[in-house]
Amino acid sequence: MRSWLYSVLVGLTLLCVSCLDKSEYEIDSVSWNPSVALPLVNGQLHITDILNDDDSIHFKTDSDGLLYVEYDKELQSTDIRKLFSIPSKSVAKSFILPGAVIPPHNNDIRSDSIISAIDFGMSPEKLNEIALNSGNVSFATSLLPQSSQLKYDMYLVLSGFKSRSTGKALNAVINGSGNIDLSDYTLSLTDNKFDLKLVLVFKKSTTSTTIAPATSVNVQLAFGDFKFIYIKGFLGDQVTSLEAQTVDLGIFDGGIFDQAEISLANPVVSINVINGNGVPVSADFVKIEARKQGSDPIKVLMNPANPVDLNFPTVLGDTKSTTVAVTNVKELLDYAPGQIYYQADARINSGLTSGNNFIMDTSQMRVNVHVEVPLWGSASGIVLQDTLDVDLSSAEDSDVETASLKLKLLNQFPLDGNIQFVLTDEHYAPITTLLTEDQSHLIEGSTVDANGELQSVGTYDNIIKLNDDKIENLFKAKHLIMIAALQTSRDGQTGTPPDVKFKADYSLSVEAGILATVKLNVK
Amino acid sequence: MRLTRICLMIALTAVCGKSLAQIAGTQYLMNSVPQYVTNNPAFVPKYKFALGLPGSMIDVNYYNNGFNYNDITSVNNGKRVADLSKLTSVLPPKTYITTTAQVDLFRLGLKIGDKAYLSAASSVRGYTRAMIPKDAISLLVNGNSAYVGQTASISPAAETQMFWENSVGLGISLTENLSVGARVKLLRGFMNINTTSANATISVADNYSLTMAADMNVKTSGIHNADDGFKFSNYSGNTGLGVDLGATFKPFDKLTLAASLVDIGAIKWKYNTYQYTLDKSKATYTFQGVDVDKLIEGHSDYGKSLVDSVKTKFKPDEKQGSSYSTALPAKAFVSADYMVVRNFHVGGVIYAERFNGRTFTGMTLGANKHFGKILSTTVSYTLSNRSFNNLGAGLSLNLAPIQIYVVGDNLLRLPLSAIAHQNANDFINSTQVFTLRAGVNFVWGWTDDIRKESYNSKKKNVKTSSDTGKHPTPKSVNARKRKKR
Repeated sequence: MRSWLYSVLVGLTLLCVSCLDKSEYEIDSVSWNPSVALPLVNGQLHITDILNDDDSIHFKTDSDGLLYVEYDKELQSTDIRKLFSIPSKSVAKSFILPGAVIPPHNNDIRSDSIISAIDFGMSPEKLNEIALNSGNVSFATSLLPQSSQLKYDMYLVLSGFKSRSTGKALNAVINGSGNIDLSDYTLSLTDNKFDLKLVLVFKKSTTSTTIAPATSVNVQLAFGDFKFIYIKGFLGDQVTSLEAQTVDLGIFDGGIFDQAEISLANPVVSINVINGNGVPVSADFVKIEARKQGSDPIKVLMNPANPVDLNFPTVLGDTKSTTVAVTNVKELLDYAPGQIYYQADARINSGLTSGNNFIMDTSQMRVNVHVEVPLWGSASGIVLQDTLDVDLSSAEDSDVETASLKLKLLNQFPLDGNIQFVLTDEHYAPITTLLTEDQSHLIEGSTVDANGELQSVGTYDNIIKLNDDKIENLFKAKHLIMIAALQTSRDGQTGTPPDVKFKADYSLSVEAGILATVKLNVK
Repeated sequence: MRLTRICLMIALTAVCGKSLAQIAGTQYLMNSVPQYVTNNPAFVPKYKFALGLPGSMIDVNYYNNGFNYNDITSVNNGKRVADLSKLTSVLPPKTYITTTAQVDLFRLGLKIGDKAYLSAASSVRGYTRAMIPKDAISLLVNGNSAYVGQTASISPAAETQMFWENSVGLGISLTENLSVGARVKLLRGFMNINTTSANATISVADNYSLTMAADMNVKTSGIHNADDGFKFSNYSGNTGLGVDLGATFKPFDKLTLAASLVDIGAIKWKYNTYQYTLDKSKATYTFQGVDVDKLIEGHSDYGKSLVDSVKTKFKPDEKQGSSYSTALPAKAFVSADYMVVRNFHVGGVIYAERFNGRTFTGMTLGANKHFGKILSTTVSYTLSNRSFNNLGAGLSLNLAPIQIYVVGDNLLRLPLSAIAHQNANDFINSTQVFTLRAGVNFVWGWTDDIRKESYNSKKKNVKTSSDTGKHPTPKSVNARKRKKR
């Protein structure tokens, strides 16, 4: 009995230990079906959040909190100033001496002088004053024949050149060659001319000096390297073309408003010309127009009409401004232009033959075009589009059984619209849309009062269930094109679009989450 | 009486269905081995003298009140598949996985006269318990959608104790019917992890935003520098004291009632103590989705900064801690033993364990049969750890002076499974409770059950002995032997 029992027990124990089917512990796969709720996106969007850096610098807020977009373009033109330069001028003069013997003399003897008018030869300018910033007169004297024993000096007298530091006229003794700096001088002219006086002086001598016949004392004068601080006089009737300019209106750029109908409540476009040239200028806007890709340009209408006579300063260093109003502002900006283009000529002394003008070296004409677009009005047909690359092919082992988006949008913007996501293949050929038509009205615009002010927040709070085929196609897609079609809020009663305001503190509160059941199987 | 028993059974079943116990019930009934005294110091084993050397007892226990292998896997089209969704359907709110182990280094049992039994032992004991909330597993497996608008509690907890126990116990018969016993234990702690508090939650808001919050206070000893190698002197400071108390009472000759409290004590941990804490005011993070501003601005390092932020918030503060005390996993036993015939007893034990503020209960019913002096067997049925298939068995080969024994709460199903399926897989796959105590003792002096005179001849003046602490007088033994001859 006992031995039987022992045998059974020992045998069973050995059986138990040895008979283990290990294959039962080789797991072929692990499967589980988690249903996951995850927050995707959260936060508040203000208009400035969605602008790129280039655009955001143009957005301003007025005292009422109303957003407006401001664009400024200023042409700083020195084209008028560049019409004028002081030419170089060379002069050669000679003193012809008769043959003679000059006895010894204890003092210098003034021999002869030459007075001559130097003409810069400028036209049509008739200058009467030039304040030089730089310039010089170089000289070279010579005696012929060179064997002559005559000792001489030459006095150079330029009474038109007055030193600004000493108040004295230029009066110099020249002999041989040299250079006189004129940067401190202001030159008085008469119709571009100034006087030159040369005086020949025999220097004292203790012996007699014999001058052979046909002996000459010669001088070469070269005026040049002139740069002026200002010029005065009559500058003539002249025309210069200013460089063409464009004002890029980024807010309307990018095709968003290509199909849009916009009505802006209070836009501003102004042109202001600041003139530092002391001469009557007439600005001729050869072309000034609003441009938009794919559309004909619209001409900018101005008051005063083109060409515009600009105010000009009468005091050196002063500027005068001239404001030119645009009379078709609303038409221009409702057109949602991508840019404003202008090109102008400047004509001075138009039809005049005389006058007291001045130009400084620093004189400019600045043409400023200012565009102000308050975000106040109504719009429809605004289309936003963006393309995202998606590639969920790495998740092919996962099988998303169900998926739904939980979306809550609290919209203070008076902007209402539909959003659709188009799934495309690698060639951007559409596969399907992600949302059904009745799911796409995601953006509920806020309502506004008669003044366009926020009345109540637009709320969208829904769960968007994605159909199985949509989910399947999502995994096939390579690109996701988001298209948003927007319009400003409509009046609840009439359906008409009131003028709405977009304020800086308006926001779109976004809460998005996803609820998905995933079938996971890991082998 | 019967109705009362049935009610008691139902109540126990219900209790065991929701809780668990880390106590081996079958071995409680095996009085043939000297280790019988471990559960009640008033108990007296069958042998008058026992000596245990290293290897005299190796006791390992595994308890899992949550799941077994079959709860995780299934066979589909001939392939073994781990179906994690299936797992979560069977889990209780908190899954406790407990492993305990005890190795005897030395044991001495000595019967002193007729009324006393002295025991001394030296053991190394280990106790590890991990708690995994169902919510934590459910979140991983089923996702968080079921918790939208709710909060899931996901904080696990861990407890570990490892210590050296030296004990001396004495059981004394005060009267013919009443015995008492006590054991004093001197403890040296080696290693401890003590989760004082742990509360981690994930809340899923209606908009799916996730809020994680956690507070935690975990104390450790002997863990931080565990890589430095073991030096016994390092642990001499982790001292503790424990006591076991027990009593048996015989209301009438065949019935012995017993009760005991075991491992009443604590260890003060002083060596290499570290504290790891998380403060809820700091360890809180709400993820509401990608910040729409960051999304538009295209911050490439946004994800990394988010992860770094979470890491920073939930990184536990680590600091050297002060000394602290932990209680031993205290146990209470109440049992009844009924001698059906000589050397055949039936009995039951209800037990409870209290550890770190949590009480667990269980019950074992069993029968104990001595086949002469050579073989002692026990079979049992245990309700424990939400597990109802625990057929236990114990066997001791008493080849005095050598005794070889093995006992376990779920042991009997192993050969049954092997017979039915020709392998042990079914047993392993369905096991949530496994206890095994085995070893070799040196034993002398078998004390047989004495057929009471009253049992056969109704003589009331004959002293009797039972296997539960009542020992026969030499005179009665001699009388029985004479009769037998």
